Amino acid sequence: MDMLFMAGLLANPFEALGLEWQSIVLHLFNLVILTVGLYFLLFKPVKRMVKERQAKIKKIEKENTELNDEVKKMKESTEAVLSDAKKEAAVIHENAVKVANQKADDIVSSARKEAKSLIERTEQEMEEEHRKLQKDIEQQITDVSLAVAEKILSREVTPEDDKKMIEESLAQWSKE
Amino acid sequence: MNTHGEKTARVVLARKPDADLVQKIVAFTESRGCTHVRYTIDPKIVGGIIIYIGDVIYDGSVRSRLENIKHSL
Repeated sequence: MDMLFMAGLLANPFEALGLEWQSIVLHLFNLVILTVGLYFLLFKPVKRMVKERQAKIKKIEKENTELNDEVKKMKESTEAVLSDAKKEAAVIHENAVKVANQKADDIVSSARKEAKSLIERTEQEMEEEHRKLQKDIEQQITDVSLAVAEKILSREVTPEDDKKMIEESLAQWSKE
Repeated sequence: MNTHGEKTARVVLARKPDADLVQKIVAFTESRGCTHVRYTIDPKIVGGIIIYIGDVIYDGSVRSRLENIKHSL
């Protein structure tokens, strides 16, 4: 039986398998129609959709890259601005400290000068007052001494002494 | 100097002079061209003599000596 089957298969394969050529052609035609239909109805739209999705992803990636670049630039710019601001703030602070120190020094110096001047003026005034007082006292002592001397002399000068004094004066003036 | 051209000396003393002193004073004033002497007694000069002859003053009083001492001090 196997031998007969094999011989039949070799002689007429379609017939041996119970197939007719019209059926095969029809099936082939169906397959072609299905393939073409699937190609146009499913494969092409899916392919287009994938392409669109890929383009969209590429676009998004590009946008992401651009955005990242922009963010990076902004960050760098911000850091630069921040750094500049910090430097400027440091300079302003330094200047403010310098100015404040200078002002403080000026105020202290001025106060010292004023205090020195005040002390000198006070000392001068005290010295002047002291001198004046001393002079007044000396003058008073002199006045009192002379008043006392005058009193004593008016009592103690005798007519003889007086005459002698007058004679001496006359003799001296006569020589001139 | 008066209207007759006579020159008068004014003499100031602390007390009244005796005759001998008057003679010496007159001799001095005459040597300075005075014909008259006018005396004034002023105890404030304490002692000594002041003679005014015209614009010239001869001051030998104790008071002026005290004043000199006062100024020199």
